[in-house]
Amino acid sequence: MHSQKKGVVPDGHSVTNRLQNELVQLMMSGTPGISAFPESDTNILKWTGTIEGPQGTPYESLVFKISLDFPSNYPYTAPTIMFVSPMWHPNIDMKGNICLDILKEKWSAIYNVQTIMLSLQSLLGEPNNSSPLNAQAAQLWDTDMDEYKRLLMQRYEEIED
Amino acid sequence: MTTLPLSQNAFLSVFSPPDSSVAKSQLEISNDLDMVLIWMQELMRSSDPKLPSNRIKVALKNVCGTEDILLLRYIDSMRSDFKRRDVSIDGLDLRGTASTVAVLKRGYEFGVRYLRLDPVHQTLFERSLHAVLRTLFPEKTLLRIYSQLFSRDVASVTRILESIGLGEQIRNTVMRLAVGHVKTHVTETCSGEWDEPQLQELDRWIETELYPRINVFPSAGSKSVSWEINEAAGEYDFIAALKGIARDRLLDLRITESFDIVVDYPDSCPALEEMKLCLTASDQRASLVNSFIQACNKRLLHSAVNTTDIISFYIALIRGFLVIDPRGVLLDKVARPLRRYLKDRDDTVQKIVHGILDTENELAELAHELKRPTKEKYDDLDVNWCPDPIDALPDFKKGKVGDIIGALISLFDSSEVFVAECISLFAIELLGLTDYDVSEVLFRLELLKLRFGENEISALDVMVRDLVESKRVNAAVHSDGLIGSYYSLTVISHLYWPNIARETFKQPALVEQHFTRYRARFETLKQGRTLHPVPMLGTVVLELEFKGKLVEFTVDPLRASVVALFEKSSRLTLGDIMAELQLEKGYAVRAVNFWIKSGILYEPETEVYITLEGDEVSEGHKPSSGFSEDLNDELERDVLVMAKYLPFVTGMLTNLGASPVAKIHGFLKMLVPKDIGGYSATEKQLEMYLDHLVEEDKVEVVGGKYKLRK
Repeated sequence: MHSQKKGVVPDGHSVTNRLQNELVQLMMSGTPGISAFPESDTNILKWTGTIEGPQGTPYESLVFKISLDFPSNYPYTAPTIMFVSPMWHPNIDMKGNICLDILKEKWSAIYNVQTIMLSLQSLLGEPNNSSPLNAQAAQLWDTDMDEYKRLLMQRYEEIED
Repeated sequence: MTTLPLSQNAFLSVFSPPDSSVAKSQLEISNDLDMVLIWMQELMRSSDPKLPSNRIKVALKNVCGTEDILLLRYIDSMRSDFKRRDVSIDGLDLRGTASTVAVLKRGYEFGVRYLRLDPVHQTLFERSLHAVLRTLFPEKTLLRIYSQLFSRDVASVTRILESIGLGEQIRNTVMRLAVGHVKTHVTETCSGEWDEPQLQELDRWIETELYPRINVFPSAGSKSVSWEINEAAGEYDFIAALKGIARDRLLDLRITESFDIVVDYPDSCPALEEMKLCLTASDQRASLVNSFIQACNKRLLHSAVNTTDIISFYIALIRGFLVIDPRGVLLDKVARPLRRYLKDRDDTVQKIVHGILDTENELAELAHELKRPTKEKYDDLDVNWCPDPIDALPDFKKGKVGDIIGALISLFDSSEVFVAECISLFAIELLGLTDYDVSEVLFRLELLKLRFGENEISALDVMVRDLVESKRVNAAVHSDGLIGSYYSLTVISHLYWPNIARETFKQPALVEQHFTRYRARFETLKQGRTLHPVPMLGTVVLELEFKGKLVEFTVDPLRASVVALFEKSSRLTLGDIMAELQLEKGYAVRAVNFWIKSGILYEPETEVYITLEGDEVSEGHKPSSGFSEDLNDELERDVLVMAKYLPFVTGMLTNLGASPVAKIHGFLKMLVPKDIGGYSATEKQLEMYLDHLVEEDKVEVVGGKYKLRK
């Protein structure tokens, strides 16, 4: 039997285990407003997530889809997360790319799907306007909330089953 | 034996007389031969043989050198003589017949003495004579004589037959008979007798009963044809051979009975011990393994047998086969099919864990087993190390096969499933405690830790600590006497407790009031923490005044709350109950059914319930048709079981949109991990559950696909 020290590159099995555990945790905790699930029953590395906009923000009662791609050495490398639904937000570009430090340089293996989703949800209500991907949105957020909401709703598409 | 039909002339034409100096005419020699033969026959018949006359002496001298031909003719005449006498043994006078034959034989032997044959011809004659005798007493006849070993004649007949040289044949016959006797005896006396040793009794029987009967040879006086050349050793050998046969036979019998013997363990220990003694040859071991596995497949490993019974059998099997073979190799082999089968049963884990933790069920011996000190761990540096037995299978684990709990736990690759089941059982037990006394639970917890390791069951530590903490909190809360001492709470850390019922209902005002006060006290005691009620769990001791009598019930809070509603009005509909308690229909129906079965409520019309207090209802009104109820129960149970997959179903439908049953089924099968019990439902059950969700308006069906209702 060869032994493998923990902390070195994990094998595929442990990624599967970890994601399966995270799924259970997420399902069982039933955190309101966020949800995620594997896209297929054969590949657990690709998930689809759903985020409801937080109350008291322009995103209230809107629902957005995101995609989560986990690398094979997850959780030692951050998953790639994109908004699938059209989005209007200072830190999210028109293609759905997200600018969030914990998904980039501040990623740590202690984060999990649940914390990522919660971070994204709070990002919707509290954008970081110092480093915007969408400059117009950043500007309007501070100056003209009505116009912001109008442009958001113009882009927003309700999810169809 | 065949004899060549040599005519005298043909013979003489080939061979010339050896002594050419004394040339004799062929005719002369032929005459001499005839004369000698006639003389020999006369000699044989007369009781008082006389010395040969001079003429005969001359003739004898003349035939010297033609012994071959003389002998052939002599034997020919002897054979026909025996035949003529018709010594058949069908007659009653066995002894007479045997004596006649013996006299004849002696006569022929006597005659031949005068010929002064050389050793070669002497042997030839003896062989021929023996052959003739053997055809007279074929094996069949001997068997018939000796099958009645008790008949008094046998000894004398034996003496005569022995004297005419048939000792060997008799020995074989007697041996065959003895073996047959031993086999029947073993089958007759030992079948099903497993609770006491049989071997000693068999040995005794062979020595003191069978052997004296078959030992038909006179022990003294006879020399070459007695049983044994060397008396002492030979006798011993024969008895030992019979004992060996008895052992083999007993083992064969035990092998066919092996399944039942194991079932009978520990009563069958003596039989198992004897199997160990008898089991020496490797083909016997193989045959034991094969026939046992066959019996298992036929009688145990199919769906008609309870899992509990299979596990009990496995336990008996482990103990029993370790008696037969302490090395555990045989056990390892016969247990494999059983282990494979147990692994496939859904309720194996549950039954085993119940057996380990619960002292009052069919598998309670597992609990005792757990309390036994575990053997020291197997050490590679053990000085007494020896290699695995030669017939062990490659993945045989020495020292593992005998550990019953270990064997059961190792049925599954990881102990996670066991730990999960243990935790849920402990949860039920801890919640059932009314006095916060965890000492007994702690004891078993420590035993479990020895088995599974500290870390695996750390959740249990938290659960036990919750109980201890609750005791303290409870004492503090009750210290000011504001809350009745009959109202106690167990405060649990919800993250660590499995299967906490999430459903709630509106508790009766009195209970609600108590809870609010309790919570207030708790919040002052534990800053920054609060309490959430879990009304589905708990115990209520109720006293119902019923038909003037006090009846006590110990029930769960839901049932108590339902029956409490009937305090105010004696007639309620199911709808009333559901509305009053803000309860789901399934729970309401179950609680009501309980009271109907207890004879407190009665259902005069569908979904309307009245208390049975009045006398208008006779005893005859018992719960209605059990069948539909059971069916309902089953459905409800299914729904309850499936409820744990609900988060997955909602999670999936939220993110992946509308999906058909098959797809949901596939996902659940793939994604629900083992440590929360895995997903074992069929697609049919899932569909039923989804339809149930549709009824509850949680889900809707669109074009054959299920989707979440917004």
